Amino acid sequence: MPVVDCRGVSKWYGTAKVLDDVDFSVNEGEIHVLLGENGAGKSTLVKIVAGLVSPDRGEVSISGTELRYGSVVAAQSMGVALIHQEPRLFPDLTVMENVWIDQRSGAVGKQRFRLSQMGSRTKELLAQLGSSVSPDARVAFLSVADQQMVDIAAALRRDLKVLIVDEPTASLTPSEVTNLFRVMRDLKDQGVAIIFIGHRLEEILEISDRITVLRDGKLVTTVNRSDANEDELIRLMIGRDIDTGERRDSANVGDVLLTVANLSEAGRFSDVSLNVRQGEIVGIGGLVGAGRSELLETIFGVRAKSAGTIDVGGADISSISDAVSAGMGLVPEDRGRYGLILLTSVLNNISAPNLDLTSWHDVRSPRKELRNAESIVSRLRIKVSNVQQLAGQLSGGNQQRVSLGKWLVRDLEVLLVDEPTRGVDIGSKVEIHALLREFADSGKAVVMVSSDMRELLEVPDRILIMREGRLAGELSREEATEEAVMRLASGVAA
Amino acid sequence: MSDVKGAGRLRQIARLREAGIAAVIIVLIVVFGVLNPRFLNPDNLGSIVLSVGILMILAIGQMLVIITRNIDLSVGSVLGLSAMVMGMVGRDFPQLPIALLIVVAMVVGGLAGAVNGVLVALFKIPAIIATLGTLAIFRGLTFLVSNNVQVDPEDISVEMKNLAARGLLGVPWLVIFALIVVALAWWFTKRTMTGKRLYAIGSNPDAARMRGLNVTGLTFGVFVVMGALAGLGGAMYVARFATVNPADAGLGFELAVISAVVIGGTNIFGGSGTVLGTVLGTILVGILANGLTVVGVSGFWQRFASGAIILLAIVADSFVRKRIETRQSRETVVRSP
Repeated sequence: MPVVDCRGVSKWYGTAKVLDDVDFSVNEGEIHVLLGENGAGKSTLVKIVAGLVSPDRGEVSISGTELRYGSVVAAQSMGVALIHQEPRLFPDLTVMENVWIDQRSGAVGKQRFRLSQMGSRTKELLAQLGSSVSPDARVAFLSVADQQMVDIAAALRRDLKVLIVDEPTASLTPSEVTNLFRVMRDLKDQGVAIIFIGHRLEEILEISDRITVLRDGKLVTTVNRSDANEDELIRLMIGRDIDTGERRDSANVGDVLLTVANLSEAGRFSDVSLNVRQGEIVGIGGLVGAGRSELLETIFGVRAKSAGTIDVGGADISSISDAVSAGMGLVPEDRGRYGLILLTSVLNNISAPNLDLTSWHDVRSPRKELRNAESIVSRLRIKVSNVQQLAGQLSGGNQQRVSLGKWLVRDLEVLLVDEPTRGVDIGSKVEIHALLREFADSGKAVVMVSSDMRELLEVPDRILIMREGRLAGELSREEATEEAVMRLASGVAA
Repeated sequence: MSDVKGAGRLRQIARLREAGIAAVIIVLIVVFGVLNPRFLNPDNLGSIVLSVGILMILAIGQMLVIITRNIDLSVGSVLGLSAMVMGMVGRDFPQLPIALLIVVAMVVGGLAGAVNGVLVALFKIPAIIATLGTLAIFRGLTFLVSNNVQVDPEDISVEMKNLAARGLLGVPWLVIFALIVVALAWWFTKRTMTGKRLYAIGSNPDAARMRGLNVTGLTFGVFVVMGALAGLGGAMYVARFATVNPADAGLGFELAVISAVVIGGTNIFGGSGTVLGTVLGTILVGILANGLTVVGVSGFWQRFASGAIILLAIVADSFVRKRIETRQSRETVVRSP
């Protein structure tokens, strides 16, 4: 009998179906890898197993007992532990306190720390994990790898049956990854069922017993490691229906507008150089965590660079105001938090970044603001009752148009867009793509980060791929295929 | 490994800060003593000890609240309300033993704390807003229950007044109560799981929920304890001043209490703070208030000074924390493969 058994699990977020009738099981003493592109539904599935998210349909049982949904405590008491990429610990407490903090005490008044016992037990648990961290060390001062071990030790303390590790290796060094894998194999030998989410195929083939591939929330297949190879897995992940779609005629490429040279941000990405010409759309692909959004934000001056130069038409960029006055605009990934002010009107949202153009010194001009807003609303066909409507009341697609449109009031040279069509309807998607092309065709430049494979292949003139904070390669439009992108993004040699 | 070093480093910083406060206390004593020798005479030192005692009882409660990433601004009003209720009960039922009167004050305070606890823990109202509201409400209640009539010294029993004058081996009961509170708090924060959970809640509330800690219950509980301690402080206030005026019992006390806690090194954003630090912070605040009066600084400048000191403590604290964090992030920069 499998330890984890998911039957017919479905989950919607709003109208988007993130999991569609997925059957998934993990046996005792098995390392089961979940594989899929960004947004395939892997994280949602493991959150359901861990009791963090409740499915809309389907059942999950742990060791034959039905899991009450949405209860972390219930899942924990059944022996399920989820280790996040960024460990969820208490930085102010010591390692020992972190491990024991949720220990249920016996009779009231008998809850005194049995310090010596807890200390030595913590040491044992950590030793079992090959970690030499002191139980008295303050968690705030530990590396991510050490914190993961503390997190696992806390899970081991409670009779561990199912260990879920969600993309744990992204911020680890090779030797730390080796140690993590050794720990996982040890636990597996002790009968723990392990679910591992990863992207690096060599790693996955090394560690797994079985591999389940998800695509667009659907189960593609579950294979044994012995039957799997890298090429086959990539094909399964991206699907066979490779859609070439509509592509733009070759651009009339002009002068260089944006030059980025040897740009680094310590700990995020390093040594990135690129240039973008008039009339060009440059796509940036890669896995989540590769440093793409951080790169865009650094180019726009949101984040401080640690090395390198950014040049737009001769101006050196080191702050947001530099970027804006040089004619750059950034449409961020999270429009609800950074792209828009949801609780204010469409009018104010469009006016906010353009007050320098419409105001006389510090005095605003409602007339000019209204004219600008109305022209953007009609140009981008934003569906609003009037420009006073709150941005938060609009649909995703219309919100994204406002987030984009606020920059089009200005005479921009370079538009930076991060996941421009995430969570928007298909109609808006097509129109936003058309808008980006139109913008580029008018002699401007676009840099587009996207995790949407089809978008990445269709919209840009060329694609840069980032992996682990570095540029892993460049693909011209002719070279760009899903397979080529995934190879560069996951580091598998051709 | 560097980890063991990390553990030591933070403790070192805490020790350093505590030694720093102790040094400032000594400097203040010397300076005030030189400026006005009367500062060092036994009567004045005794008066400092009594005001520090009352402040300490409240500061310990406030420290627990702040550790959970909350704050209680209503402490002065709760002190006033419980002192008033206790004073009136003592006046109207002179036969009641003083132990019972102290219990009355603590129950009134505990109930007031429970109101704060319900607002913050259950209704999830930010503590700074909820307790700002109850600060006014409890002060208003003090006027209502007393009909704006003060409890006079002749209505307060000699036994009650003696709590601030007599005790064991010459140590007044007021001070003994404060020391008991300190000892219990030390034991609670160092030796119990529940104590550690308060730190956990303040350190990472999301993780606390995900680890299944009873965040609501513990937050509620900590506000009740704060209220009960403010009630005890109210009883001690009655003993010391032998009068309760609804307009000024505990008025503005929150500033002194929060200053003491923050100067003592409790992180205003929760997750850390020590009993020893709070004790030292309280002594510093108490000495400063008394010393400034004794050397003849006007009341206005005293307020200015207490405000400036709390700001200074917070700025120094955040400066040190930033230094640690940047050093830390430099050490854990993703080691590129």
